[in-house]
Amino acid sequence: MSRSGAHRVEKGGQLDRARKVSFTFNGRALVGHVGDTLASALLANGISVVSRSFKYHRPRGIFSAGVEEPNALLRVEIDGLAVPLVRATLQPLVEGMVVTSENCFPSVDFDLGRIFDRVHGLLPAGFYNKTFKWPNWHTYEDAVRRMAGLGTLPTGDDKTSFFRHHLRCDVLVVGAGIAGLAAALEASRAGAQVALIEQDGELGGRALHERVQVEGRTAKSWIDAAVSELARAPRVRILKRTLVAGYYDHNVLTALDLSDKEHPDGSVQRFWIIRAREVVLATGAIEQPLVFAHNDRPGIMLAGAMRTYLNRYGVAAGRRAVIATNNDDAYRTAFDLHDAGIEVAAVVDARTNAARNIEEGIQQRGIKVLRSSMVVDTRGSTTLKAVAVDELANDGRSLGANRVWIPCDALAVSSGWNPTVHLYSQAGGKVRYDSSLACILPDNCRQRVRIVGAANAEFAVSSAIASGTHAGREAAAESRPVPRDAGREHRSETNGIRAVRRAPQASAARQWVDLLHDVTTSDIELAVRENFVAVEHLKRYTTNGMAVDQGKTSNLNALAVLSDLTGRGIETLGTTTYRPQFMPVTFGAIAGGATGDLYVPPRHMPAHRWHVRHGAQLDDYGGWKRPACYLRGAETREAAINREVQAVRTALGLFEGSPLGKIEVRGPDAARFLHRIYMNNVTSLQPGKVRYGLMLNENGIVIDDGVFACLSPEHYLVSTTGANAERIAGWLEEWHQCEWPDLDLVLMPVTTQWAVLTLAGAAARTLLQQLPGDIDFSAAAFPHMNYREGQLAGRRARVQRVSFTGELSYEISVPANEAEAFWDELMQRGAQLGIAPIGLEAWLVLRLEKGFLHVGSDTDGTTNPLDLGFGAMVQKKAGDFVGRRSLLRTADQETSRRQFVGLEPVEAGASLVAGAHVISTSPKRSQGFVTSAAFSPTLGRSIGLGLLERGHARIDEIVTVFDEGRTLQARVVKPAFFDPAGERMNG
Amino acid sequence: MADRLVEMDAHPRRAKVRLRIGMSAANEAVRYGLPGMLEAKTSGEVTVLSLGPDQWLLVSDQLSAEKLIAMCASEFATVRHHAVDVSAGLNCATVRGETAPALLSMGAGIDWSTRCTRTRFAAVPVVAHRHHETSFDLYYDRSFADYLGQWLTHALRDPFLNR
Amino acid sequence: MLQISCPYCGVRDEEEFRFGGESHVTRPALDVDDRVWADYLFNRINPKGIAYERWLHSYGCGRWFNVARDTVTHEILAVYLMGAAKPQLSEVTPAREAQPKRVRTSEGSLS
Repeated sequence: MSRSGAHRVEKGGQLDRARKVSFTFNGRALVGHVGDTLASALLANGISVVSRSFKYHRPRGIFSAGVEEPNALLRVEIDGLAVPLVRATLQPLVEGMVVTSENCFPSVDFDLGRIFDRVHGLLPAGFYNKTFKWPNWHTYEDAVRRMAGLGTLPTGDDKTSFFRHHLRCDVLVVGAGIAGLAAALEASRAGAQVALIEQDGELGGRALHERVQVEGRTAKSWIDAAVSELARAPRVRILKRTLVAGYYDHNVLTALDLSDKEHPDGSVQRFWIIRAREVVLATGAIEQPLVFAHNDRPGIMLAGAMRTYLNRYGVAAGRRAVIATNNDDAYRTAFDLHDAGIEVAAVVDARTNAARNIEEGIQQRGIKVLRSSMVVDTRGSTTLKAVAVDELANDGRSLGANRVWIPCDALAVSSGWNPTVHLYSQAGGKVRYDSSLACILPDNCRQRVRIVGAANAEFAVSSAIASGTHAGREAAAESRPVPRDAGREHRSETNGIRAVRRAPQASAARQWVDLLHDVTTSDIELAVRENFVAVEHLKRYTTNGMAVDQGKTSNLNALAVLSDLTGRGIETLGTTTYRPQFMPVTFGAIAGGATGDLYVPPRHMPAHRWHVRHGAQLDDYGGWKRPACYLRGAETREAAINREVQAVRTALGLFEGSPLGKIEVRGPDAARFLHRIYMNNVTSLQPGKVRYGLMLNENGIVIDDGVFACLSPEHYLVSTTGANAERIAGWLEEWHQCEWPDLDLVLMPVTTQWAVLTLAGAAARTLLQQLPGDIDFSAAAFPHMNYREGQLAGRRARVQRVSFTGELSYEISVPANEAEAFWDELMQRGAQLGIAPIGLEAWLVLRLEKGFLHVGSDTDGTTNPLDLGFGAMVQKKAGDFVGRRSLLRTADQETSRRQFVGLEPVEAGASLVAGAHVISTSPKRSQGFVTSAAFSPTLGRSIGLGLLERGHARIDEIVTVFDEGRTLQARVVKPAFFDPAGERMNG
Repeated sequence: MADRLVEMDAHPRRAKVRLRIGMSAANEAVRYGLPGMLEAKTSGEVTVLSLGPDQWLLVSDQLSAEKLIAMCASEFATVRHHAVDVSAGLNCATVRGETAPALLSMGAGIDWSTRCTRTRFAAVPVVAHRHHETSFDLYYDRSFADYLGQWLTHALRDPFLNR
Repeated sequence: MLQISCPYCGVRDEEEFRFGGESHVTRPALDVDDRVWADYLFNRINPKGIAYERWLHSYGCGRWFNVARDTVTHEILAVYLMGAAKPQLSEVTPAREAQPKRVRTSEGSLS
């Protein structure tokens, strides 16, 4: 196992040293403290190699202390739930967690994958576009896919609970560092409703790990006071360990809340959707590394991170450290280490001098500084052993003569801090590169957003407070104009940076730019040679910045290298687009618990419980859970369906049709309105009568069929198919509200107020006449296609005598909450008449035997009423209706169109299948297809319906039907297979 | 967790009538004493909830639906209107207690401080009536009862509600 | 996710609404030729800039209304009632308030 010089220091840090936490790493038992992250605990235990790099399988150590971590992505298992690609720098240490390195075999310390490093010359950027070609890609595909990737998915159920929350506020402050806290305080004091969201488990940002003074106090003291005031403020909500990952239009943002990720009752992830009147981004900055040969060794770390581990976690990154920098800020690492008793071998500064106070600090401590110098190479295999330092020549760009090797086990690197502008950019904000500050800056944004603190390159504490306070005040005030420019008043300090990021090449040794994707400067050089010089092309060709860290520590350096190679200033190169999410967000969190049974609400019919209790096989039909059939004993579904069909044909069936759409239309213009909507004549319908109608869209396509009843001259009841209930109600509203608002009527959908129980079969009338009530069911008083309402079995009832099955049939509507009791009563009273409950599958077979159209099955997006044989009805209709003009088009009237027909197999035992095509043999093409098919127990054979070119003129023709390689012969017939005259339903 | 924070079918015998009047008459609605958008009004034994500029939900625990419809018939005799009994198809759930606003904010991102509102709550259309500071009636279609119950059971398990 | 200001209910999430395509499309009479009818059925302006659109507050009040929206920035410039005339808006707009301009007409009340 690799050991480094990293260790826990005796004093210092903000941990609870009294409380220990045990965990394992690659099988080894280790111990840390409450307050540690996984990364700090690994460092404290002297672990050097934590992972192997993506492509070359090079040993890697912990590089940072935050979201930007490119190396320490580990598999973490807590309570049996294993998650890959966890950033060790963000994962709190949890008792009993099992941590494993992935992308290595057999172990992270001895990985066979190192072979890839040996042959790295064969694996430059885009190599896969040039190799794996013979004999073809698929020969290699399997192996390559197995080797690609950084982690394996866990198996088994995800026991995490996911919840979604919505949050509304006046002012959203993202980031609770000094600037963010200042903004939140000011907005809160101004009376605004404030939400403060911080990604860390503690508030305070970088000030938690720096030895700085804030407004004359220690950082901790200032932070504590601020937090205390905010916690007591009633209109302030604080979310910790919550990361704002997406910024969308209209100041809508999303955040992933992991504050209960280790909850004792089970892991929880919470997704927040936030609507803020104003947003203040205080998202800080991310330190950038230097680029030099072998800059990816374990032991090399960002300078600020080294300080974080020391000051916050009491962990020293090594025993003898070198600091390499091009700016003042990194000197703090030298000072902090020195003051904690850790040896600082040297500071290697690319500049000639530092700021005055820095120079004083160096003098006081007697630290050695190598000026105008850069680290150009490193040594050591699984842990850093030494670094090579060269002086820069007078031109500042090439190397001088005096190379020294400095032994050390920790190297802190810094090429300056880069504002975290991702959310600003997602909001539509523009960013630009500033050469004096040598970083990317927010420039302007149309949304109601302000950006403060290090995120706006306001690096000094005083600037951060001033800027945050100003933004908080402005944001809290209502109706301020949209602030466009990011504002530069508070930016003055530059940290003395000199924009040298890459050491001149000392040898052929590789210089890393993107650690996670293993992209080196030679890859960028290759891209430039092949003319991929636009920044978007460079990114995609080299994959720099495309890994799961999204280039947080590599995008800027890649731009710098590109700038060097092309001779164009970085400010002219542009940046790639930032898109949500800033950090990975699980799909489960986004779904927020709407998975499994909660994915789509299944609707239950009023008599649902009766069906469940009586053997119903429930399936999903148009969003409703409905009985497909009712199983008796050990019968199969097929047997049940056949039995139910025969029950209706020979005795009596009871079917629940409650999802059928029901819409009341009331007013003097009701008939006129419906006359414009339906293809059929409406105005001629008398009270008490029911008529079948088709609705078309403006393109003449059939969108629904159903019946409409006239209750009185100013009161109509429209029925729609079950699947279209809401859609047609909306259709009617749209025409009334938008096109004909002057028609005097009101619409009232009543679909779910009424349960519909349909009695079908020769005994239907007999049963109804046995029930007490005031409706006359005799044949003369209540003919087919009529409507009656009144009392039935002590309930309010609306009865329509319509038939979907071709039998004597009554659709009875009763109030939905009485459905179960009424159903029970009908079943009991109908027992000696042979009543049986009927499922939807049998219902559809019954209608198929009659050749009755089922819109959506027998029609598609091209079927017009002429195709269905309703030409004569259209002719007789007077006046305009929706879709009429389309039916006048020549193409709509062609007889060569697919027309609605019936089909019967010629051979006795053959079966038609819906979806089969009717084909001609020369030329071999489809002439149409089977739209519905079933075995008819009534007729003892397979029957079907279809849409066939010139179908109406081809009755009795024998055609060839093709289905998955088999063919059969079928006769084209008129759709009515059973009782074509309709004697049963009209009786 | 608060006792009886959620009750799925809190008022099974409550009468509910949906009233709609012609849009051209909607201006006059205030003259008839009907509440404006996002408002609710209680007068005697009837509470009227606004569903839209031209629609209201009349609810009563004392009067029957027939009585409410008859009241509409006489009040709006000269105005194009239609009043329908919707008691059978609508359930009324109550959500009450300190955590009510937080629980409701899991289902929809609206401003829950309005007195009466219609929105999409956990994928279900609801009419919400805030009759007290932390007490809400949610009217929803009975066909969603099972789903909504499951959804609320799931949501109540979030430890956030107990903080 | 857009925040749309329904003229009756106030600002709500886009999820509560249904988009209804271009507004101010006139339905032709029965006697127009095929070209005019096809234009009505299939052709829409699709501007890069201000679009005048119909929206339905399906999960709220159930009313249709009109919206003027910048298709490039998604800013909503005006909300006005169904049937009202297209408002006069300039293409280049100065810094705007957070709330979109509301246009009142004679129909109904805006609360």
